[in-house]
Formats: sequence, structure tokens, C-alpha cells
Amino acid sequence: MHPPDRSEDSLHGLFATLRSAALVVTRDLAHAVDEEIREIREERGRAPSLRSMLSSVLVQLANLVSAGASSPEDDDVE
Amino acid sequence: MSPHRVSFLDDDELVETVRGGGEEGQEAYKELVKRHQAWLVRYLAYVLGSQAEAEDVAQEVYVKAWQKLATFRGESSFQTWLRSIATRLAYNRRRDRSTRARYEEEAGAELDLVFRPDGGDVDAREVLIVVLSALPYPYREILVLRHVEELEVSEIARALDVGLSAAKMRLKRAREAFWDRYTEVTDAPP
Repeated sequence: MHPPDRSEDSLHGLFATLRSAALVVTRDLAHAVDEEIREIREERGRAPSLRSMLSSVLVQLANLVSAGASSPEDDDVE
Repeated sequence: MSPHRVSFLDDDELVETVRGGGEEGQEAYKELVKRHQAWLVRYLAYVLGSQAEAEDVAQEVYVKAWQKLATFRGESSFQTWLRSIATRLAYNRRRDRSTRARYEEEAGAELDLVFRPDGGDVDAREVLIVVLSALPYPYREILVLRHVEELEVSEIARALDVGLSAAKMRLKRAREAFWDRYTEVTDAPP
């Protein structure tokens, strides 16, 4: 079990058993990654663009200004 | 493009197909995932000391690589580029305090690495994993890069974003620490 010395070659030889080993990948990574990427794409597709968000904010601001132009008392009229 | 068809493409051609988008791009990326997952999970498992964590991080690596594919200029191989992303994400995972605390609690816990039966010396492998797991993270990382991934020191320096002399020094110290720990483990009475 003991290597003959502490040289780099000796260490490299010792690691051969790790280099030759293969792990059983327990998860279907291709499927998992594929699903995650599709979700990201869908989210991007649903996400409003900056331009549309800005226009939405501008419309809301215009509505607020328009509402502010009317008398506050008007809102209290039942 | 069918899964069968993409399997004939090399990595560069697959990357180009992914960039083209659509279902073909999706199939091409799945092929890249399958093609590189064995070494990637093994690398992460040796560095992180846990297969479950390795598979988690491998998934993150592939998603991050897909998101960053536009920045991949092909100056290095796709594998080298993927490894550099994996190295950063593995480091981040270790840096996370809660994860680190959990690792420390798990020190000496049973290994969760599942090796494919190949007739190799399983005991020798487990000893090495135990010794690696006992080393500080930077030492384990550099030993795996040098002696499992077989990178040259200059490539390691680039992967770790450190100078050449710093990489050499870290490797020297890592080897010393490894031998010290290895001697303790193998000399320990049963």
C-alpha cells in the first residue's frame, strides 16, 4: 500500500485508480438540464420587455395624472 | 436533427448547432451534456467529496454554460471551458457557509460515490477519497486537476485564475499534505 517515495510520479501512479474509475451518474442530467433550459426559455418568453414595461408605467402615470386633475371631492360623491 | 444524427457531430459543431437554436439546438445541447457528464461528475465528486453534490453542481454547470454560450469563443476546447465553469461553481458551493458546515459535520461520514464496477481496486480508491476529503479544499482541488484531470501546471493556473508560481507552490504544499495524511491513514491500525 505504501508508495516507495513521495515523488510526483509516485503520486501520479497512485491516482491512476481514480483516473480509471467511472462513477454511475444517478441522475438523468440530460433530461434535467433540458427541462431547466425549457423553463428558462418559457420564462423569458413570458417576461415583458423593458420597452413594454416602460410603456405600461407611462400609461399608469398618465392615468394617475388624469385622476389627479379631477377634484378629490368627486371621489367622495356617492 | 435526430439524437442519432447529433451524436456524429464534434463539440464545435454541436456548439454551433446549439447557437442556431430551436429543437435542433436543444438536441445538440443534450448531446453535449451526455458526452461530458462522466468526467464532469467524477471531477466534481472528487473535489466536493460527494456524488449527490457533484450531480447538483453538474446540473448548474450545464445550465450556466448554456446561458453563457454566447461568450464561448472557442479559444479553448468546450471541455476546458466547461471545467472552468465547474471549478468556479464548485468553489462557490464550498464557500457557502451552510454547505461548508454540513461538509464538516459529514467529515468521516460514509462515502456516497457510486463507482461503476471495473475490476479496479475499490479499497485503494476509497483510501484515496478519504485522504482527499481530509485535505483543505484548495489542496484537494489542485490535486484532482493535476493527477486526475492531468492538466499541466500552466493550465491549472489559468483554471484557478492564479499565477504560475502560486499554482506550483500550492501544488507542492498539497502533495506534502496529501502524503502526510495518506501515511496517517494507511499506518493506522485496523
